[in-house]
Amino acid sequence: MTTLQRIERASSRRDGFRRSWYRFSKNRLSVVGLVTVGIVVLLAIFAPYIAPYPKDAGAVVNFRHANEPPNWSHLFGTDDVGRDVLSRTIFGFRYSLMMGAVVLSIATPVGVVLGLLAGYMKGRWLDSVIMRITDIFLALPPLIMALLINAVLGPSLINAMIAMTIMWWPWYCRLVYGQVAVLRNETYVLAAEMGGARRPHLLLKEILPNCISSVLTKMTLDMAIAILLGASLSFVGLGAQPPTPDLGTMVASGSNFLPDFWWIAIFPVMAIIFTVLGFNLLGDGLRDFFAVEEQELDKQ
Amino acid sequence: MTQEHDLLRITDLQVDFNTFEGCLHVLDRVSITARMGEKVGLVGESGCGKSTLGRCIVRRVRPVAGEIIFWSERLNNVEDIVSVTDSIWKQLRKQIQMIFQEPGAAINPVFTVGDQLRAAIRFSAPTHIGKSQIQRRAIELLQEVQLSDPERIMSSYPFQLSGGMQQRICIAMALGVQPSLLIADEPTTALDVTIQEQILRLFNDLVSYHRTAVIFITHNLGVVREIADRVYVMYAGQVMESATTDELFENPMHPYTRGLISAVPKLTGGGIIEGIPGHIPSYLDPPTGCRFCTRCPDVVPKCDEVRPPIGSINASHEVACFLYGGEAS
Repeated sequence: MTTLQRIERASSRRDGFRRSWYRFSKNRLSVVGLVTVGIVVLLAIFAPYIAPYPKDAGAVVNFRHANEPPNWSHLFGTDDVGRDVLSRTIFGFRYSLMMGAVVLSIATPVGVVLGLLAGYMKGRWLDSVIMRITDIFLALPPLIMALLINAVLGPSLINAMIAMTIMWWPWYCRLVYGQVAVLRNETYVLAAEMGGARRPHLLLKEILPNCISSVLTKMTLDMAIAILLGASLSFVGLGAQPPTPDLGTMVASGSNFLPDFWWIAIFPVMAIIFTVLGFNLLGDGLRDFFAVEEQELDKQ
Repeated sequence: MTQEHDLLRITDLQVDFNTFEGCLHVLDRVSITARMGEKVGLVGESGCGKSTLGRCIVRRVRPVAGEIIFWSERLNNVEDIVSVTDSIWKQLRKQIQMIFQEPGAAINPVFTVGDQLRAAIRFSAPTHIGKSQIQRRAIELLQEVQLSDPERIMSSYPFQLSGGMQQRICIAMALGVQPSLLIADEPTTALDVTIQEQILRLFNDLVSYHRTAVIFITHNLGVVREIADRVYVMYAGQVMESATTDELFENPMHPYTRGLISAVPKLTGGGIIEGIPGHIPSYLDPPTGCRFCTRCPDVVPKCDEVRPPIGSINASHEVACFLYGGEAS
């Protein structure tokens, strides 16, 4: 009876969540990461209500307050046309997050599906075709290629996202490919196959759920890299165009006024660091979390 | 023994693995049969190719020669598993189920037991069946394998259950498909002795009840004696002897079988038993004749040159050894 009681307790969903949180929160840094990411996301969502001068996010000029250093009415100072840097930075989170989210939410499914197919068909022609194309993409330097694609398509936020997506899916393809090639030989896949399961079931219900944890971890870590790459593209003028309050664009225009009006560039830079650090810490935490979970599964 | 009643007839099966070291000749002209509802034991020490044979039957290993003739009740036809098309295999495979050594590995770790059991039932159903019907069948199956409180078991994840419970679930899933042949690859080896006993008894009862033919792969002679009607003794990829279980244990003829039986540790006797000196020969370059000749106490000169033909001692006892007649052809 005690065993059954224990099973009942373990399988109750709320308990499962509490157990996961306990294990996740044992690593302090991952909690810091989660809180950081949470703050950034909240700031982005509620930017119009939080920013002290929401109108400054757009094309506004207010030369009377231009180039003011940080003070009580403008905590981060004002830029060369008198807009509040704090307000623009808060709005900047929106563009950074959107960039990462859009790129990953397109690149991930594409890469995962292709990797799944190639891994399952390992050794057949489909595998070779998909993986050789993937290899070609992986051989190209991502930033240079993104610059090139973006330059061809023309500078805009949308085109920057397209360029990044094109360069991003191969990483997921390869990650999933490696896992599927191993997982498809698992006994439970053979057991399901013998039980009459068809290929879509084997791929989507037996193999894919066992890759999700590593895909999720990579997505969190990649979010940081995507934000950086997006900011880089904006910095060189290929991403969001002024007056869009994109962090990269703000750094680019602010860098013209260094070092005298340092606050125009430094605060957006710090915002980028804050965001990237948060996603990195969260990603590392998730990786440890899933690694422990897998160990526990192996132990049984 | 009319051939119509053979559910599975494997003839001269040969499996080679190509590796860096060279070609491994893993199975050498193996022939076994299993009749409808018959429980066949396949014994031999680790690495003798018995699991490879099992994996050939489920098409995970491609033999280089030989055939695996399977009589399909559903198709009312015999098919050679080695050469059938994928579409026929899709219909055949449900009639062949497999139970594995590691029960934990045979259940997907990320879903609850119920999810998988219900999926297995859904796939095996000849027509579409409703959710409540699937649920009822799942509970039935778990009760059949004597798991108390099926609802609770179904909502748990595999790692929350013990090895014995997991193996019961595997048996439930395999039998839920109502196969005509069940391949059990060392199903009790990973379990401790008391659980092993329970699982064996349950397994035995269920396959007898469903009249499922079983190929029981094991290295444990005690288990074979309890389960099997008939036993094949394998050594290094060759079948050495086959007989009904009682006959084999009362009158073992092949030197290897005798060595194997005497090597079983007895609970009553003291001291460490001798066993069979030597090791399995390399599969890279095995003797062309009987592969046991390097360790055989009764070896004669022609043993390593010529494969001894399979000779019938009586209707149910066959042995491949020169000691019992069988001149070199």
